[in-house]
Amino acid sequence: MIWWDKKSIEKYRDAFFRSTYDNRIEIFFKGWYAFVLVKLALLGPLFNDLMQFHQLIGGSSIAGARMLIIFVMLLGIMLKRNYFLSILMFVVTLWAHRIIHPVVNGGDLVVLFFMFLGIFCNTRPEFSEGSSLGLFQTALSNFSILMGKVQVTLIYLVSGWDKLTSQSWRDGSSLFNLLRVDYYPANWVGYLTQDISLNALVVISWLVILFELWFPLMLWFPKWRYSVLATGVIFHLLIGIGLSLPDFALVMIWCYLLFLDARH
Amino acid sequence: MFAVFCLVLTAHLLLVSCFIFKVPLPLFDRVPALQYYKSYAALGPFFTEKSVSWTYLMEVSHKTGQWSPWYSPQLDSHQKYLNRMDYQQLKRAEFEKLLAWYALAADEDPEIREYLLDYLKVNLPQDHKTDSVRITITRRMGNYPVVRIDSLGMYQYALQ
Repeated sequence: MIWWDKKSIEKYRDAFFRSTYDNRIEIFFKGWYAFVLVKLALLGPLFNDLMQFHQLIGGSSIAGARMLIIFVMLLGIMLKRNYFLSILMFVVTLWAHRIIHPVVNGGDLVVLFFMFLGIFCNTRPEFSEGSSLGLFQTALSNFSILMGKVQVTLIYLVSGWDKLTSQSWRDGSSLFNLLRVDYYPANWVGYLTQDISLNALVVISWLVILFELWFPLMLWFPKWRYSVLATGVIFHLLIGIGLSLPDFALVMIWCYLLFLDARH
Repeated sequence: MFAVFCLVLTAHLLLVSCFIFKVPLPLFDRVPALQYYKSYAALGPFFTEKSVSWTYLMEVSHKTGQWSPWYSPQLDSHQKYLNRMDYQQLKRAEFEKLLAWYALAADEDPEIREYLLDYLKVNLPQDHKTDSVRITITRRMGNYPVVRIDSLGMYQYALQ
């Protein structure tokens, strides 16, 4: 079957305008609010350093701003989402990013991206569903979800491509350096890999590269989706635990909710 | 409406392909809003060599009691921080490691490299300072990147 024949295109178009308001989307975005809240709350021990950084670049006190952001996130979790709330949450997350800027990692950028996408993604109709505005809202919301899926797959594809074109990733030296930075590997990983051979590093590096290129392609085949997602969860848990990046792992795994069927 | 969304998605994917394959699109490097679009459209890559070196710098400077905004690749922050940092507090080995990792990061950013070398000409720690110094940075497998500082007539930066 050709997926771009007339019948298929009509099927896609119909799906595009079909109302898909469900709790899954509400939970998906509230998860991001909870993530920002918990991250800011847990940054306590680092806060003196962060304040030092802000004083260094001429910033003002940020302790009050942090409490305010935590409060707004709490509000976001409790209230039902609408356009106003989504915009507010995006702006506040942007603000939070400025505060935690020196310790922002890739996961935080993904969160910010989804907060932006959330502005266009509704969980309930704001206009009459039969009207033009209602139709536009549904289509925009569905389009935002599709863009979210596209971006999740692009994250892997871009990362995989970057590693494939990097000499130091191909020959294992990037992974070697990564494991020697105290900040990243957990103690047990550092211990296990202290005498690791170059060949083993090359094999692991290539496994990572192949996974990052294979994963985003297979994700689009419904038949394979769940097993591919399960592999992704394992991959991120390994990174999260092994490289002491639990927040990044959580963010990427949470993104998989977009790919789950509403029935599940 | 469906056609418009399809067009937007196609244009987006085309642009991302251009970003990935490094097709020069100067407008996306100049206009701030488009810069944001570019960085979020091609989100990632994560765990690049550069990001690892930034992290190492943060780690060393944090251990020596000085927070480093080097983690963020913004030159003005680097300059402000470099001016404040007291290299005397670092042990020689730490200093050399720091330099080596910094050079790896600077390797991808000529502006940072130029600033770093100018800075070192006047701010090298006392025990490294001579009238003329040569800095050679060697990257090799099986060890940390190594930086060698010799008195050989001129500053020389080299990645081998």
